Amino acid sequence: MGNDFQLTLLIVVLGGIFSLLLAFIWIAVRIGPKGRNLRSHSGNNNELFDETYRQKLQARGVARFERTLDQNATVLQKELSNVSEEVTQYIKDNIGQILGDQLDDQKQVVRAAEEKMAQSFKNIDNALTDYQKSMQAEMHQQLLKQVDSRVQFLDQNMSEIINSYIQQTLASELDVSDQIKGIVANLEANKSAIVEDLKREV
Amino acid sequence: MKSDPSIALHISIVSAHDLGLIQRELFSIDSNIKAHGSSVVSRIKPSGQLDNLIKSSGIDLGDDQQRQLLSQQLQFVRRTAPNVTLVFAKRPDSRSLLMLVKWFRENGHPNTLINAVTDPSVGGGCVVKTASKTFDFSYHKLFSKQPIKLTR
Repeated sequence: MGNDFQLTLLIVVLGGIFSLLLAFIWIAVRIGPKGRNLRSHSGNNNELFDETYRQKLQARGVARFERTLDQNATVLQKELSNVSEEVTQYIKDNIGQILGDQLDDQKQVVRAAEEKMAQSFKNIDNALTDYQKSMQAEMHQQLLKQVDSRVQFLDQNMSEIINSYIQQTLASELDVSDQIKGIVANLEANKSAIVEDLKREV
Repeated sequence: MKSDPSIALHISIVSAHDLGLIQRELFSIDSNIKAHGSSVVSRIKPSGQLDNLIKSSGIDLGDDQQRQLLSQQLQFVRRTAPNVTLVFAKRPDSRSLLMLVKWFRENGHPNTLINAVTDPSVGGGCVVKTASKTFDFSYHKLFSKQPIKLTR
């Protein structure tokens, strides 16, 4: 629409200029050397148009030129106001549509971005869920391994653990008097070796 | 045996430290008598261990020669008697210790000197250390010989 308006305006301006040019040319021809040559070519000392008549013609030509200019200017002005009214009306009629179309485009862009973001979040959520499941499974495996290794440690070191327990909890309760029979039994069991060593020392 | 057990230590004289105390006490009594004469003998109050030794050996403290002999015998015992170290988790009571001393003196050498020490890592039982051997009768050794298995 903007281009149409400009084109119309251009045509109007050019038409005005062209008509002005034609007017100038006509006047120039009427009062120019060609016009004068017509009179001198008759060979008459009495000119076709005397000085007064020429001046009158000139004045009439100028007046007509000015009238033509005024008319063209009026037409131009009228055309301009018509065009501006049409443009204003067009804008009034269509601006809502134009803005609505633009807003719709923006809404579509925003909606697409929202969908994309939602999809990204969904993907991230799925990835996190998968990772959580795999970590849970691995942790369960590690836990079972730990349990097995600790039970194995207990199996292998039960005597140390019990000894440590005895030391820590029964050290204050266990008297040598409670153990003396066992100690003497052990001495009896190893009597020959002990006595042999004592004799060797002596 | 190379040593001549002409004197048998009383059961109350357990360790080399006890023997040393007896020897020092005897030396002190001897010095006292030599300084003040035999009149002080009646006022002398020997320690329980020395008193037991005198009674068991039948020595007269007032007699210089017998005192000298006793001193020499104690010196000989100290030099020649076998030493045994017993390691317990806790300090044994005197009754238990005397039972062990009695066993060693009846089955080993009549003047065996016992040194009782404590080591909590033993846990229970005892470790017997003679001059060249160690006999581990501790609970630590006992459990390590017979490992216990867990059942699920």
